[in-house]
Amino acid sequence: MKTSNYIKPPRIAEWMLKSVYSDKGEYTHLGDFREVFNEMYQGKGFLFAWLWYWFQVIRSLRGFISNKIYWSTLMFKNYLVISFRNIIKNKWFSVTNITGLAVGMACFILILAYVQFEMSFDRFHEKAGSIHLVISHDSYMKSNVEEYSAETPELLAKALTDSIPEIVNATRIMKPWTKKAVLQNNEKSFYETGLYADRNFLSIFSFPLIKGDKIESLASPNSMVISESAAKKLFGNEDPIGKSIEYKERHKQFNLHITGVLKNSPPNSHLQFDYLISVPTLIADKSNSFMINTWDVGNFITYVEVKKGSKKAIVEGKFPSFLKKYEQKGYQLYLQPLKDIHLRSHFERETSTNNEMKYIYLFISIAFVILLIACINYMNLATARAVTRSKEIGIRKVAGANRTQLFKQFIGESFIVALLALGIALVLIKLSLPYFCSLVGIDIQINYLHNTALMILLILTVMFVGIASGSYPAIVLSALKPGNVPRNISLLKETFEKNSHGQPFDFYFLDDAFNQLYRREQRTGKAFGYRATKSEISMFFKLEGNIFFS
Amino acid sequence: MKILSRSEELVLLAIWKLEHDAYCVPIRNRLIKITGKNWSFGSIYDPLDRLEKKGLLDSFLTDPINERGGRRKRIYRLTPLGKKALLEIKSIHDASWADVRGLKPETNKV
Repeated sequence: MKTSNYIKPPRIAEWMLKSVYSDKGEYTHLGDFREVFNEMYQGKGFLFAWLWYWFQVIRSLRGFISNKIYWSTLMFKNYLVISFRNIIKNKWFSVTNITGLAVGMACFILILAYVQFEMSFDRFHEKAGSIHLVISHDSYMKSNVEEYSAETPELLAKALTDSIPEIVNATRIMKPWTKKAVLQNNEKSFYETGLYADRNFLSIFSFPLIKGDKIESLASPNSMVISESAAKKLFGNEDPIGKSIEYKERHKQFNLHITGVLKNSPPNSHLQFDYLISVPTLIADKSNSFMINTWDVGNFITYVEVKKGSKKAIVEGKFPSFLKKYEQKGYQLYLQPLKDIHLRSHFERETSTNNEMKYIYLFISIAFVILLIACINYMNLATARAVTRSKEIGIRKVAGANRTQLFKQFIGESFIVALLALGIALVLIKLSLPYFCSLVGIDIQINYLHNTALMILLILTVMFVGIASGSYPAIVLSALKPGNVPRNISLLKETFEKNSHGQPFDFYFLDDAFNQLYRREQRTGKAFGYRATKSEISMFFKLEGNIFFS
Repeated sequence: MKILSRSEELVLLAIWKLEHDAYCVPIRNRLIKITGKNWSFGSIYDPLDRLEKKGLLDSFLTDPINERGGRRKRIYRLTPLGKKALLEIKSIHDASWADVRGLKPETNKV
């Protein structure tokens, strides 16, 4: 072979070939392949040689990969078996451990489900991002009290859409004078909560209608839309559309006919109602004329839909000139985004009682602290028990396990425990959910399959618990040196003798394992995985012999 | 001792024949020449490893060689046990072929 014509095979292919076979660390096969590669190059050209080399590598890869998979599944099975044996062997230990974790996880998930519910308020509206509540800020001269109020005059909605181009649409609602009103159908009558709502209310908010038209159902006087459950109560299985109903409040009494049926308002809506009465009903009633067509009385709650992409601050910046145009003095207007109403607004005369963001943060931190405590508890227990497993680690190490393998084993074990704990936690959640709901006063439905965020949270929780609780034992245990294991065992033996009342303990399996290993080392002259020196092993024997077999 | 497999026998014979230069490449070349079929490297490493494990072969390493990308050659030799195994297989062959008659290429045709 001429050295001048000598070429190298493709580097990646050679590297792959190197990982397939080692020939006891000498890689002589790479030399063989190079020789043939060069022969081919000289005889048949570079392309042929190159293709041949790659073909060889790819062909050998199949066996290599199936071999790898075979052995890794075998080891995986072994790890599984060992960890289950360990769990079963230390029953009380496992029970305390897993229930501890499970309770922690259950609390964590419940609290976060509550938080998720609170954060999800009013997100279901299609236009949720662009709907804003109009807030008025009064400074009364007389009482010196500053007040932010959700209530605004009747004329405001139309004036806003007319003179501010960014405001596409505006709708008004009004709370009834009494919190609950009577709906009466012949002899059946019920107390229900509800609202007066403008004709475009249902086209701005996405409360789904089952029957009736979005706009027409609230367009004319004396029309009313009721919820599914109210319809069921009042009319049973009959079709409620077109039926008339007696409506009684403290001062008011209307004869209304039903023009639509709504789905029950979702629990995570700040507007909760069982009926909607059209605003024209109010206007048609002469006794309400004091608040209609005026700027002086603010009884309505106004929501505006802002053009997509226009900023809240820009719209708010146009309010002073708007108020001047309509000759309004003594108060300012602001916007409150719909998504913030539940957690970030505290105004007078709002439609709902709201939660506060700081409580949400508090709950989140409590949830994490609980989970962390459960993890630390597990870590503590696992590390305490770890000493008893040092002999297993010693044997694994001397038989050729490297540190990453041991690390994987212990992390995997804590993952199994975390998964078991998750299973128990889910059962605990299922059992305790009704009590939890009555405690927080809301009806939370946990629907795992349809709740991707919760699913991701569950997976992350298991990962977090697995890693957080397994990392410390895994690091500590995998770092044990086989040479130190006998010393650990001797320590262990002392404690064991104390605890087992001097009964003999079987360490013969250790002797056997090391004997075999020693013979193999003698035969091959080289350790395969772990490079235990002979002195290390003989020290092991000496120590072991002295301690256990003297 | 078990009877050698055919590939083991061929490999052992090739090593015996190649004498001082019996490493993988010439072994493979020789087998390809004799059998007229393509032998992959895997099909040679495998019996070599097996034979070495059984003690029919032993091997030593040469100095690193530049043309081989700085890799050594692993040169194989027959052990006395290997020679014995070869002789044994030869006697088995002789005995089993001794009284076979009438086996001609045409008879294989269907």
